Amino acid sequence: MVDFSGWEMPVQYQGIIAEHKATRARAGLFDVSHMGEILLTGKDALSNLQRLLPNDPSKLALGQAQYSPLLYDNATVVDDLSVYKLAEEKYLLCVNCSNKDKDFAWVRQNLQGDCLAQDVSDQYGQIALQGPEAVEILQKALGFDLMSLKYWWFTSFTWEGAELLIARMGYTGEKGCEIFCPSGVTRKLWEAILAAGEPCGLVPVGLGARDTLRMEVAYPLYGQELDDRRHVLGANVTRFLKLDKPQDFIGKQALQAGNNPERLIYLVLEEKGIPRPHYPLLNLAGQRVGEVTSGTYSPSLGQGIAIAYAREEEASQAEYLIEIRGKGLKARRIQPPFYHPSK
Amino acid sequence: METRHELKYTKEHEWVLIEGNQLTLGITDFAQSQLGDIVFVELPEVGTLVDAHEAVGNIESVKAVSEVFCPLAGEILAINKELEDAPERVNTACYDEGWIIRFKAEESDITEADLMDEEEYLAYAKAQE
Repeated sequence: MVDFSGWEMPVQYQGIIAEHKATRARAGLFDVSHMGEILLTGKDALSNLQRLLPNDPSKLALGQAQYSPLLYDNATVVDDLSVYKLAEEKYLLCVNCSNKDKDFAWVRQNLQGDCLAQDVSDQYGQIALQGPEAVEILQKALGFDLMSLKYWWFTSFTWEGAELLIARMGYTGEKGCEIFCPSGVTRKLWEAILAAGEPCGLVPVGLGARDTLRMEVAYPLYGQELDDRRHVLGANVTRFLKLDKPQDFIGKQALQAGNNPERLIYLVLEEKGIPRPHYPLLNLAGQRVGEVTSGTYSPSLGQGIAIAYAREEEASQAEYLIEIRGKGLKARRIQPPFYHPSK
Repeated sequence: METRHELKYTKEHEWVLIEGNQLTLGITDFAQSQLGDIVFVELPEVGTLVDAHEAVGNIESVKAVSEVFCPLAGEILAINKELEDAPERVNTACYDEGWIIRFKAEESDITEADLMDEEEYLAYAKAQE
């Protein structure tokens, strides 16, 4: 168990590799109750979100969610989040646990007009079910048909008297969902899904495999690929930055200026070794051109993989070296993701 | 946590089996369970001369990297080459097929070395749990 922003959470249950492979082959269950939730309500909720987010929440239908970074004026990143349209004038933001207080303060200080922001994190538990067997398991456990939802859509669903919010999305690239529940129901829900899923090979998954799974599908993690020092333009999230939406938003000017010195690249290590955060990235001449932000052993590939920032003018090479304990090990740049889940 | 009576232990959670002036070294059950899934073991060359407490290799798990220290000055006599293809043996059999290096040391150094017996090590490791 480790302390994770005040939450005592398991790095692993049976082992990172076993949990990772079980999720890819069958299904994994993740207790992600540590995630923060901020509720925005009021007549001006949407216009506030439009100003706070570079994505375009006006495109959301009821029951639809979208991903967005949350930016400072200089286009560095406060956090990355999912925004759910619960009702007209009612939106839920799901944010990173370690950033929750900072996010809440940032949102509140930027609110205008008729809009109330509430930190409702304590009211929600959250469980993610991911993997090819997720659909069958959810059917067995809750009698809910996940395929009735499109990707990044959600619905409310009553289970044993409790109102759940089931969203078809996840952090592994696999088929699956994230389920918000009243916090008092979390344990019962966890046990019900686990019991229903065990015959299908469902296993509980800790923070360790959560990280290796997200890295294989090249999703960014706040504190590594995204932070309050680096410009968001280099973070490979430009499809979530809607510069052409009519409303002005925080960070827009800095995005338009566009002077970003570095960008993310994705590397597979061709020699034996495991890249880790902060290891130096070198060009083939041995000059330092960047830094690893996330690195691990990929259980699916059986190789070391890395996400790294490279200086813009050095970011298009085919091969690099990653310096591991003084030695430059050869790495090949790939187009993300590292692993394509079977859909 | 498994320990073995016939072994001596270091503060770095390694074990040594002493046979005359030759020693076999590996990591303890406590160490392998802390590291989790081991996917890569970097070993020294046979014949390398090492100083006491010098790092002679690295163990990479999915979670972390950990150095292997040689507790005594000596010469590397053998390395467990099997670990190149089967590093998980350090997890599954840390006191047997998961041994890491064999080295030779001066008998006087061995007698004076700061090593723990099984009982001392158990108390030491439990305090870190």
